[in-house]
Amino acid sequence: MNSLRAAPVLPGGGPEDAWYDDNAGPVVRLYAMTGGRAHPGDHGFTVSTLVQRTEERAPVSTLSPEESAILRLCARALSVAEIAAYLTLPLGTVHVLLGDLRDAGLVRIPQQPEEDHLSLAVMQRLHEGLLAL
Amino acid sequence: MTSTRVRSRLWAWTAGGLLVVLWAAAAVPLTLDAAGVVRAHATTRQLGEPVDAVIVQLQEERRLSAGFLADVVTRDALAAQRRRTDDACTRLRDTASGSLWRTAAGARTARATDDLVRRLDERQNVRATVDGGKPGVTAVVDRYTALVATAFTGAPWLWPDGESRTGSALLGLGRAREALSQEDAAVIGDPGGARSAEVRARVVRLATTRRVLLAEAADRLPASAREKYDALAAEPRTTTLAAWEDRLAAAPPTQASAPPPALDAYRTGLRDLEVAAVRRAREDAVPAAVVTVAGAGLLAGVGLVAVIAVLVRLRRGFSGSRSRKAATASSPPADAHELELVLEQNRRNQALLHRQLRMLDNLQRRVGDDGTLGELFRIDHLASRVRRNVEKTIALTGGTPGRRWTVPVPLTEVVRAAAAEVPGFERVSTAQVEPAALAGTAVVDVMHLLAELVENAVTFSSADTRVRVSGAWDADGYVLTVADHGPGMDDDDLRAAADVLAATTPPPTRAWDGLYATGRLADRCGAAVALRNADGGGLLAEVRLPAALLHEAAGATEATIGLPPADPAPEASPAPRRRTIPAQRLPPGASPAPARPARPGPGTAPPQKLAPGATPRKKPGTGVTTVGTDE
Repeated sequence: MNSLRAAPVLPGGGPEDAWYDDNAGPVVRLYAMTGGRAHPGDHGFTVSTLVQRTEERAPVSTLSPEESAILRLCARALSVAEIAAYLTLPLGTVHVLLGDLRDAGLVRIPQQPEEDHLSLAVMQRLHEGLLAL
Repeated sequence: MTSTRVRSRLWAWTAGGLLVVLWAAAAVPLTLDAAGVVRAHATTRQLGEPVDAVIVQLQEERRLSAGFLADVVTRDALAAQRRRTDDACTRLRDTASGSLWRTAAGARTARATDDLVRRLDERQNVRATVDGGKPGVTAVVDRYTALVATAFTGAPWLWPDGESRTGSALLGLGRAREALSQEDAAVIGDPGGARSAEVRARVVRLATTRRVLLAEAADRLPASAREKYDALAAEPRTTTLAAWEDRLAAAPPTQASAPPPALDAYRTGLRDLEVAAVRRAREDAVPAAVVTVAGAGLLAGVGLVAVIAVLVRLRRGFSGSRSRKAATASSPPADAHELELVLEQNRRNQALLHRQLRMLDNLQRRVGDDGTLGELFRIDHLASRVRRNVEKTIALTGGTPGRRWTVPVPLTEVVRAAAAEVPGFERVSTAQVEPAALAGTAVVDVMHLLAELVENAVTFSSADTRVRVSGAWDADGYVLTVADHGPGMDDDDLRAAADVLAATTPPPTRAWDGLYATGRLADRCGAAVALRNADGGGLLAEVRLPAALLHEAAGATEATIGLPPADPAPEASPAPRRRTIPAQRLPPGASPAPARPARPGPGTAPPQKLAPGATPRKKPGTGVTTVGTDE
């Protein structure tokens, strides 16, 4: 009747019905990061929109870990696709989080370069970023 | 021989004991089911009608108040209506204070109903406004509308099957009737026939709302009610009203509109339809309820008599062979074996869920369309709730759920995961959790015990309030707090709750099941749970975590979501230490990453949420992003 099982051998993952650490999956599911929202509202972010953090500082305690991470990343202007790639988050999630941060005045969209003058290098980075999704 | 005799006696007693266990295993869940059915009936049946009556009377009072302010309704007529509203409110209060109902419904539901009754007293203030001077009709109508909304949303437990098909259809019909009633009030408040642009816009908006609600509800109605609905839709009283609304929407704003048709006829039709549908739904529910209750009674009663009979015979001494035959014939395999089977099934379910969730996770990271992502999020939430149930069952039957951590996990993550696995998680705020890490072995237990408390808070507080989960270090360790704005509990309830939390067997009434599970889960990980009323109203649930489970570590930081450090980070991320100084006094950046990778194996474990294989990295100094492969 005792249901305890012998500890499995790491790092193989153990028996079929036990998963350890990273294999146990993310503790926080993706939907929980945005309170279930997948629509960013009317912020007009696209994959190539550049985002940079503003001088505003929010009390750290009010930010979620993902939001803090985005703010740290956006010390320099960064495209939405890159943010999503760094954080390995879906674009929709990043859109929602960016929308919230923009509403709070914590990020801004700096002067955009002409969309149709994307250099090959930028395209390459975008491609790589997307691959990493 | 004596030894044979002793052995056969022992055998018979063992079999008798097993019989008791089997009977209990069969009877207890059924009895609990029956208690749940009785409770659901007690709340919806006994309270549903009075609340509905209050809504109907408030709607009528709103209409007559608007008419009174527009000088088309006499003061006497309004006064008579106010008395009817008061009668309905009194009836609701009387029903809610009946001790029989209170016992069946559970203490918190009863107190939440008291809260609703109190909030309805606001009507006196609205009436004073109507009587004193000449306020705007729209303002008065809106205040009544807020009162009606209170009755609709202030009692979410009244619609326990709101998620079911028929349940949502009935709720939709009710809301459609409310839209019609608001339209009615707007029309009567403007006796010229909806001339002003404001009233006209309002009428058009309400008409649209009603039509959308009705169309949605109609699709979910049971067949018989659906026929009634279609018949009503074809009747002149419906078509006349619809044609008038259409003309109003199409007319240029300056043109005087035709006088409105009498809305009463259509309102009556809609009300009849609703009443018939509710009655039908209730009739459908009764047989199942009767079977459950009767089955429980039969099994609990007759089964108990049979078991007692066997035991009495055993006690009286017996001729070994006959009794043993009787006992073995009625006792199938050992209960331990059955429990192990149940546990095994749950483990398999968890394995399937685990695969499902992993696929969902991959899909969510690939999908490009926000609409689809939103749908996937909803599926994910449901699957997470199922996983919570499965893991809880495994834990309560003495097993260890399949998700396990060998390293400490930031409490922020545990708290967020707990909040995310309850319905209504959008209302839960988890921002104020001081950094700490929880021992891996306790993650699942703490997560689910917290989820019980959060679900309780969400259920028993009104839908427009937030539930806050916070965590803080104090002199003795770490305390997690779940705070709601619902009604609190009186001293008797608090004492009963403390008993249930400490109990090792399930409580007799279903209303306390969640709390019982909380207590069992807390027991597993050595946490202590206490409930108390907050100073400013609402209930506080406090979970004290034992020091042995805590590690001083950064909270959920960027490292847990796979962020390469933006600043040159200190080299070592030491293995988590037992807490010696409060984490918040550390200089920022002193412990840059939660010390996760502390387990044996080649290399370090990749950050938690990275897709296997590809890790995006930033080359230090260059600012150029490359995609590397994890070593």
